[in-house]
Amino acid sequence: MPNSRIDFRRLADACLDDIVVSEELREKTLARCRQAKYRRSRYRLAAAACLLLILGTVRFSGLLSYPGQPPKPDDTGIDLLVSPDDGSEVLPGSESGPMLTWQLPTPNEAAGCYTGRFLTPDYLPAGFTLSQIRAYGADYSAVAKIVLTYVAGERSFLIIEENDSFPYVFTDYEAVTVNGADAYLKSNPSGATPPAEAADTELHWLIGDDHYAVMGRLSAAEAINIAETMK
Amino acid sequence: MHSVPGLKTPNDTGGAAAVERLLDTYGNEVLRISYLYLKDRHLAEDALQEVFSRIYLKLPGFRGESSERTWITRITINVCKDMLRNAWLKKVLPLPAIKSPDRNKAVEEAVVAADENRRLFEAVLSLPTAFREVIILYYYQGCDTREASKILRIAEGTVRSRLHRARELLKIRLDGRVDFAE
Repeated sequence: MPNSRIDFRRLADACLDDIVVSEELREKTLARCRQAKYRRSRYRLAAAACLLLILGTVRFSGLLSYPGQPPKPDDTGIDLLVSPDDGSEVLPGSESGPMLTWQLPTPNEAAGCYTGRFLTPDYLPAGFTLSQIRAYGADYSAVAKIVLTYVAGERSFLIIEENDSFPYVFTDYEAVTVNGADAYLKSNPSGATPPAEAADTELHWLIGDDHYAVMGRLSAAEAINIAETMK
Repeated sequence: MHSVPGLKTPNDTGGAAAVERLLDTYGNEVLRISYLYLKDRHLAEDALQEVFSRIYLKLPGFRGESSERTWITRITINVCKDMLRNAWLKKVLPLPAIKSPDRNKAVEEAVVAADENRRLFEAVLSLPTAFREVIILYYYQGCDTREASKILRIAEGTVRSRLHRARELLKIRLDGRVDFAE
């Protein structure tokens, strides 16, 4: 048995000796890099064009001509038209093309651009606060997935809301109900004898084409309570 | 500050050459860390492509405040985390297909040792993500706890306590027959 970090590296490498970058994978990776650069340029151009269009429209329609009050450049209301440099990223492509991801400032912003029915919980376990809202979509106006991250110290959980018609199959999950909808629960203790709230829990439920999930360091009861308040 | 040879903007051939150099130097390592994290070869290959796309785009912003290996490891861990957060991915992650020990070597001791090693390797892969990632960084990447805390953006004390818990879990899962040095 290994008894040092060097030993683990050696034995892991022995088990992984066929996990290497093939010539084909190398070429695919380099091609993907070139494509990513091209896509970023394209989004920058699109964002710049939108900005110019909006500024031009505003200028010609005289909307910003308040007497005695100069217009504020931050009031253009185009927060979502940030370029990828401002926090968005291009994720691996799906069948429908590349997926973008970027941060949203508020749940209201999320509700405004999400293509499904956006829900937020009225109940949170003690100490948890919303720390991040992340949007995923083919473009900035069609958000197909929202991920809300809640944090309390070293505990965290996610609420995932996804609008698609993916045929989910939940095997090895316990069947429960959330507000009358069929739901699927899995809760695993993360250690030998953990407290209930330190379990790794996943709860999924579907309403039409909307898939909702609560997952993270939560007890099963906490996950269900959160889900029940998402109406 | 570390020197970063060949790192220019990705607009120029120097940037492309730098990415090629990084891919040739760290590609296998990135692929293996991704595999250890995601436990699936195809996902690990997706992660590799995503990691180097991000490297290509972020090259101009890399100031060399950490070594390029640490920087690349951080990007790799972030990409793997993003992929693991994906709901459907999380529930369909298959069991790892571990290479069988080479029985042709036929020396009984070697076979036993290989089996033991494989059990340990599988035990590491079966750890919860939070524990697996510190084991990968500390024992596979050779990071110290300070470096691991920076890569994972968690407190150094948290890294130490997770390492401790991970070692305990491995010890339990391997019937006390493993004792990782600290």
